[in-house]
Amino acid sequence: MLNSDTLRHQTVWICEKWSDEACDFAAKKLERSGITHVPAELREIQTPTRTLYVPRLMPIYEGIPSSVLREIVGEPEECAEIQGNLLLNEGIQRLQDMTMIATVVTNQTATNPWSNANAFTGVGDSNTAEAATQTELQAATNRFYKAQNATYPSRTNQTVSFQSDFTGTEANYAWAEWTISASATTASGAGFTTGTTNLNRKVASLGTKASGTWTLTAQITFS
Amino acid sequence: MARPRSEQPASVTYKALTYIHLPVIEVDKRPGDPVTAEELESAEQSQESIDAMVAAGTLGSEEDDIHHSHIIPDPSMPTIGSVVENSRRLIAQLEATGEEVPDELRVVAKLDYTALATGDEGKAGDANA
Repeated sequence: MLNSDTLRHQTVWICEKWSDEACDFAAKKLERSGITHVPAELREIQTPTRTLYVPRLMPIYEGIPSSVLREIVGEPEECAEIQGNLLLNEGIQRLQDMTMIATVVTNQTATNPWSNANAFTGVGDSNTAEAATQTELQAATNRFYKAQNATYPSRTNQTVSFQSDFTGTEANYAWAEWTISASATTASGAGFTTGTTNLNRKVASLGTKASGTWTLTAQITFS
Repeated sequence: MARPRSEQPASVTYKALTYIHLPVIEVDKRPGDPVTAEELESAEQSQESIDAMVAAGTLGSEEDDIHHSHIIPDPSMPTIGSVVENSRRLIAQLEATGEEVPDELRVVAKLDYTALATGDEGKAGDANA
C-alpha cells in the first residue's frame, strides 16, 4: 500500500472593488491634468529581432486601473477575501511538466508558463462545483480572462501572487467562479474568453459587477 | 408546500470520479467518495449543474471507474518505449535463430515512440490589435 505524503497548498483570493463614481472621479482628475491615457495590462509586440512586452495605453474613459485608483482615490470601497480553491489536473500536470521531466512526450508541454505575459485571471458566473478534471471556467458565455497587472505574478517566500484589473465594461455579471490560466484565446475586448491551461478553480460568490474597477488577487502558497 | 415523503424522488447517491470541492458547505470529496443529493442541494448545485457534472464524468454511479488521471501508475509497468524496444530485441532473437516472426510483432516494433515537441500554447497579447 502506498504511503500518501501531503503537498499542502492554500490560496487566498482578494477582490477589491472601486465603484463607477470612484473611477469617474479619477478620470476627471486625470483629464484636468491633461492625461487621456493610462498604462494597463502588458501586450506582446513582435519586432524583427525580439519580442517586447509594453503596457497597453488605455483611454481613461475605458477604465481606470487599480494602481491609478490607489494613487488618486485611495483604498477600495469594498474588499472581499475568500480562501481555498481546487488545483485542476491540467494545472498540476503543467507544473510537473515544466519542472520535473527530462523529455517532453505526447500530451506533455514544458513551456507556456504562468508568466506575466502569459498568465490570466479568469472570472465567470457558473457556481458548478469545483472538480479536478475541469479544464475551463464552467460558465457557458459569461466568462472573461484578463492579463496580469505589471510585475505580476510575483513570489515572496513560498507564496505566488497573481493580480488582474477588470475595468469599466469588463466581466459585468455575477462573479461566482474564478481561475488562473496559462494562456488564453478568443479575443474579447482587452481580454479573452477561453483559458488554455487552468491551474485552479474556485467557486464562491463575490457579488455582481456592473461597472467600476474590480481587482482580483490570488495568493497561492505551497508548503 | 413540501411534498409528502412518499411522493419525493428516491435519494440519489453519486460517486465522485475526481477530486471535487462542494461550494457553500465547503466539503472536499476524493475520487470514489459518495456524494449525496442532499450534499449537492446544500452546495446549491442546480439540476443543470449536476447534469453537467455527470456528463463531464465528474460524478458517476457506483459501477463507474474513477477518472484515469487519478490512477497512480505502477513504476514497473511497461511504457510504449520499453514495449517497442522489447519487440525489436525479440525480432532480432527470432531472426538469429531462423524462427518465424509474427506480423503483429513487426507492427509493434515499427511504432514511432519518439518524444514529441508539443506546442499547445494559446495566444495571448494585444486583443485589440
